[in-house]
Amino acid sequence: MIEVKNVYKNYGPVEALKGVSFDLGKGHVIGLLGPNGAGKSTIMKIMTGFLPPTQGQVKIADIDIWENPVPAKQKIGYLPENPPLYESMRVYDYLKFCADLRLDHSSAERISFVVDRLGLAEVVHKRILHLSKGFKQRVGIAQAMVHNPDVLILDEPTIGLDPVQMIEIRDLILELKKDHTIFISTHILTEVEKTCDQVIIINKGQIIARESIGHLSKWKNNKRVYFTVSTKPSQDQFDLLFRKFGERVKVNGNEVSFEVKDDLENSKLSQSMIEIFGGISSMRVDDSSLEEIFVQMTSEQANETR
Amino acid sequence: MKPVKVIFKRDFFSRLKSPRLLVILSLCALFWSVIFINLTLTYQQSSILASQPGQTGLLNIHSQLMMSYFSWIVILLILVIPILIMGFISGERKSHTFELLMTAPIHPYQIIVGKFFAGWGLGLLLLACAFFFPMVLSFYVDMDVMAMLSSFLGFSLLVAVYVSMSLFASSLTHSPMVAVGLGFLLNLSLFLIAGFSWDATSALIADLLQQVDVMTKVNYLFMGEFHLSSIFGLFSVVVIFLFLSERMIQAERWQ
Ligand SMILES: Nc1ncnc2c1ncn2[C@@H]1O[C@H](COP(=O)(O)OP(=O)(O)O)[C@@H](O)[C@H]1O
Ligand SMILES: [Mg+2]
Repeated sequence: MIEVKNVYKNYGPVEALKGVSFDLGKGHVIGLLGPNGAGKSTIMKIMTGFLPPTQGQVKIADIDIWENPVPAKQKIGYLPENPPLYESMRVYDYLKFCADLRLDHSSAERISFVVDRLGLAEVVHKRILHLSKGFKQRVGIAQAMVHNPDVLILDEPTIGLDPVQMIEIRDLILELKKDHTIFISTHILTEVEKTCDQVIIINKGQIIARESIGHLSKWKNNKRVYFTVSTKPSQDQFDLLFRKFGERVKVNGNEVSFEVKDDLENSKLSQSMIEIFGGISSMRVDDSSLEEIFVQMTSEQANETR
Repeated sequence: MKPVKVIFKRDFFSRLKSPRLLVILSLCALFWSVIFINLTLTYQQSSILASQPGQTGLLNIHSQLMMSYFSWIVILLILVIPILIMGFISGERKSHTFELLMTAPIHPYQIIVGKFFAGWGLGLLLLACAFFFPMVLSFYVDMDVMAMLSSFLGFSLLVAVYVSMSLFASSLTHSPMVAVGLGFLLNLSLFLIAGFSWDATSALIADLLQQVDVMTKVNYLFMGEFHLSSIFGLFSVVVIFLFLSERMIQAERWQ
C-alpha cells in the first residue's frame, strides 16, 4: 500500500532522517514509535507529499507521490501534529470544504457518516473556535477521513488530550481499522500497545526495529510510579503495603514506588496510597522505559553488526 | 477547475461574513462619499463661473471631476487591498491549514488562482462602493457613459494587479502585518515605475518599463482610451505575480 524507500531529509545542517525504509500493508494499524525529535513528523510530512525528501522515494499504491502527486494524495488522509482547522468555520462547512477539495463529487451522506462515526453530531453547527480540545482533535480526524481514503496517517492523535478523551480516540482508531490502513505516530509506548498490530521504532532519524505487538513485551521494562509521603511509613503501613502489592512495591525513606504495567493503574494506586497514608505529597511516573528500550535495542543492533 | 472554485468559495464567503470586511467597506465608503461631495461642489462652482458671459462655456465632467475623484480611489486601494488580502496565505500558515491545502490532491497553482479570484471579488466590492456615488450623480447630470465604463474596467484591472501583488507579499512572510507593509510598498512602487518610464533616457529601458507600467496603462482606460494592448499588459502583470506566489509556496517546502 505504502512504500518508503531509503528516505533522507536534511533541514539545513540538521539530518532529520537518515535512510528510512519500510512498507505498510493493507488493513493494519501500524504505530510509529519514537521519542521527541526522532523524525516521526518529518517522515509523515514526506509520506503525505507536504515536504520533498532530500533523497529517496515514497510510493502510495505504486504511485510516486512526488512525481504524480494528485492521484497519490487522493488515497491519503492526514492529520498533522497540529490539527489544520479554520477556526471561524462551522464544523459542517469545514468538513464539506475538505471533501470538496479532494473529491469530484462529495456526498452529504459521507459527511453525516463521518460526523456520526466521530460523535460530532452535537457540535456540527458550532464554530470550531468554540470547541474543546478533544472535539477539535476529532474534527481533525474527521477531516482526514471525510474522502474515505485507503490510508490514514495520524501524527500523535492523542497528544494534549485528557485520559478520557485519549481512550475515546483509541477506541475510535480500533473502529476505523475496519475500513482503513492506519499509520499513527506516538512517543508513548502504552499508546501503541493499545491500538496497533505492529510497531516501527524510530530514533534519531533511523528505523531501529519493526515488531509485531506481541513481541514488544520482550523490550518492555515495567514503569514505576513514585509517591512521596509526608512521614516515613510506619511498620503497620509497611505491612499493609506488602500484603496488598507484594513484590511490586518498594519503600525508600519517604518514597514509595510501584511497578505498573498500565497507566490506568495509576489512579487506583494513588487511591490506595491515600487510604493507607491519609494523603500524598507528590506523585511522579518514571517514563524512562522508552529510552531504556532504545538503549537496549541500539546496543543489540551494534552486537549483531559486530 | 473544481479546486479553484472550492478555494475561491471558502476564501471569499468566509471573509464576506466577517465583521471586519463590513468595517473596512463602511470606512472606505464614508471616506469616498466625503471626497466625492466635496469635489462635486467645487466642480459646480467652477462650472457656474465658466458659464458666465465671456468665459469658454461648459467644462468636461469626466476630466474635471471624475479624474480627480479616481486618484482618491487609487490612494485608498493601495493600502486597503493589502489589508483585505493579508491573511490569505500567511493566515493559512498560522492555522496550520497550509498543510491541509498542500496535501490535498490539487495543484498549488489552483490554490493561488482560487485565492486570487476571492481577493479580486472582495476588491470589486470595494470598487462598487467607490462607484456608487458617481452612479447616483449620473441620474441627475449627463455623464460620459463610455468613459465611465472604460474607467471601471481600468479599476477592475488595477484591483487585480494590486490583489496579485498583495497575494505575493502574503506568500513571502508568516506575519500578516509584514504582508500588509510589503503589499503596500509593492503597490506604491507602480508609481515609481510610471515615473521612471516617463523619464527614462535609454530607449531600451523606457521600452522595458513601459511593458510593466501599470499606472500609465490604467490611466488611458480612466480617460476613456481603450487599448487592447493595455488590457493585455495588465493581465500579464497579474499572471506574473500569481506565478511568483505559486513559486514561493512551493519553494517554502524545499528549504
Ligand atoms: N522545519 C524544521 N527546520 C529545522 N529543523 C527541523 C524542522 N522540523 C523538524 N526539525 C528537526 O528535525 C528533527 C525531527 O523532527 P520531527 O520530525 O518533528 O520529530 P518528531 O515528530 O519525532 O518529534 C528534530 O531534531 C527537529 O528539531
Ligand atoms: Mg512530531
